[in-house]
Amino acid sequence: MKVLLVEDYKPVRTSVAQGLREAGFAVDATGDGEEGLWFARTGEYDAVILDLMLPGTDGLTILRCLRDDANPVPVLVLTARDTVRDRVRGLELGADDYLVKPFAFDELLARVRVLVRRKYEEASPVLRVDDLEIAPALGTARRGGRVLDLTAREYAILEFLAHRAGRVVSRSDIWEHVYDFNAEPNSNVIDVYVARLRRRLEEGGRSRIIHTRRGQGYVLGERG
Amino acid sequence: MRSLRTRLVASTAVGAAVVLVAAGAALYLLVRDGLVAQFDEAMLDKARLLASATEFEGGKVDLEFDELDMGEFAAGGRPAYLQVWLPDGSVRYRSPSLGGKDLDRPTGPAGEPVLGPVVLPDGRAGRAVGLVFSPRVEGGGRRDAPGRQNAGVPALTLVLARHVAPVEAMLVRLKVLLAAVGAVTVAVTAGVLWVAVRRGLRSVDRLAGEIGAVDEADLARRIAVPDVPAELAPVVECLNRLLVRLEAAFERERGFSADVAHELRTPLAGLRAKMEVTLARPRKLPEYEDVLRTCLRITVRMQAMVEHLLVLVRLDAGQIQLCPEPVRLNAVVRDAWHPLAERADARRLRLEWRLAEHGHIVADPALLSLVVHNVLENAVFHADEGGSVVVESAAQDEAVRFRVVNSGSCLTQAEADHVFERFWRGDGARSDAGVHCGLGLPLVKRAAEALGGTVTIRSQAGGEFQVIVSVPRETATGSPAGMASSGRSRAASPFRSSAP
Repeated sequence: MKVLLVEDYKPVRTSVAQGLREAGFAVDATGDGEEGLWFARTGEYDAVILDLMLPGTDGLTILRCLRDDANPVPVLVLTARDTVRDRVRGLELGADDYLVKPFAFDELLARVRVLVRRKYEEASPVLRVDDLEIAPALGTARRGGRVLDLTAREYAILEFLAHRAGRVVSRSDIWEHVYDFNAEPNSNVIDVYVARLRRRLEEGGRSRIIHTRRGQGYVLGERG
Repeated sequence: MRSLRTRLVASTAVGAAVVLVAAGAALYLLVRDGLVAQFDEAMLDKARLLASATEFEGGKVDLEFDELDMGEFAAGGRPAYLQVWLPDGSVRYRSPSLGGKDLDRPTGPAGEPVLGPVVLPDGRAGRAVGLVFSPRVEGGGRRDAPGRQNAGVPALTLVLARHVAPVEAMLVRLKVLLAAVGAVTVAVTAGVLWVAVRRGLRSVDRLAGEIGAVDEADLARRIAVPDVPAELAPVVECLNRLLVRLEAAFERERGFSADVAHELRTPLAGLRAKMEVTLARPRKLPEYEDVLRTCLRITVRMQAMVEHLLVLVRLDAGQIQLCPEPVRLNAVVRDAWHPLAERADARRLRLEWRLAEHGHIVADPALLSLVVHNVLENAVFHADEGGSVVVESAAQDEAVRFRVVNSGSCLTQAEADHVFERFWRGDGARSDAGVHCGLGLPLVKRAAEALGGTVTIRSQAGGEFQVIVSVPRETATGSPAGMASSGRSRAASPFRSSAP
């Protein structure tokens, strides 16, 4: 899952980015409004965390631009302004959620996960594909009741596939949603991670659950 | 509580009543005098008629009353009375109505008729006319005026009296009529006034309702009373102007509190996020050190900001007591520079000192130092990397001037006019939230004003940014900040912000 973080106050930006990465998200972070808007318009994000007071282009303007573009990316507004008027204004402009500073990082994380879940129109906080269970809130995956021992990157790829279970996902899609802007694009890396994931998923002689569609990508759960 | 309406109506009613009573009395007296005069005239005419019907013939007084209408002198009913005396006092004629009684015979000189009120023989009030006259001399010319008595012609005295009852009855009717008209007029006036005033005051009630509905939470509301009377319009207008001012003041206050909250929440959010994320899992020692250093830096900045805020609030509330004493501006400048020198070196700033000798000035050293420190700090932080800072002091007649110029200004003059607004920051400064909380220059301005001085800003985008502080040599006594004693010792003064 890839998140765009637009926040001008460096201590908040660096630590939120770090926390999100450690929770398995790919994060693009910027402190500049115009750069933030550029990121949001050009990248594939599962959620945007947006501070309202920004140099250059402020958060509400970014939000308005995105909605004018009919960009449906879920936006969580982060701000130190807590008046009802500010909140209502943000929500009216198309924010999906609102968090007032200072906030608990765990709450931010939980809210971002809800936004991602909503984006993929899932009602349950636990993703199920056959006997595979993924709990994004916990960052854990189980198969047949047994917890899988996954690295952050492996987990991120599995969760992304699970959000799109039954549908073919291209390597570049996976790349877009799992890697930061700064990473060097290399689709072989995805293949390597998928191979490792399969090994973990198929431990104990379990059936294949990630299938390859030649020339298209991968699909989770759908046989054949 | 005195009712405006009751007072207005009561005083108007009393006033109207007084006017009406006076007018009624005047009218009554006029009418009464007129009626009495008319009455007397009629009586006198009759008396003269009777007198002219009297003849003196052959030494004998002859009353030829039979040709006249003597009905009123008959006995019974409501008669009139007539009596005629001969000069010797003997009664020559007595009307039947007298029934043997006498009327009063007027005394006094003969000539003009005597008129006046009398008590009639039946005990009632009447008026009488007395006339002394000489009867007509039959065959010998005309009766003469009483003054020129012909020899032998006796001067007769005639008294005619009539009841005044008809006049009195009319006067009573008049009195009743006047009283009734007066009473009705007063009542109608009071009633009309009562209703009119109530109508008029209804807009006062509505106005009161409108004023009562003004809520401090919603000062955007304006008082609007439909059909407001012209007399109340200025009140409504004044109230609305007051509301505008109140709203602006509240808005400023609210904006300021919101700014304070925002500026404090941002670094708090940084602290919290840093610590929570760091504590989420075990880290290596250098990572902890790094985070702690960041947290300390944030805390120091927050502290500086809180102290700036405190001083500002206290200056605004007049809670800082100034202790003016002789100080040397240049010494204050050097002291204030000390904690900034390292930062200036790190930014490779070229410094130019132009401190002119100007002797002592009398000012509060802590406040002066606060001004100088903030101006210098502003220059060190906002000069472009490797740029220049000029620090200049100069003596003027009654003041000393302190000027700091730094290169690399990113503000136009129009933008620079905002620097005295609390929490205002140029966009360039915002990305480093927390370092420059946007209180330094507002504080400089407020503190310089407390010292009786002024601050001027000149800026040219891409060029120089100048802060010019002018402080009088002698801080005026009775300073604006002298209202309440803060009771703080100099050492505990919040003036000097910690060096970042």
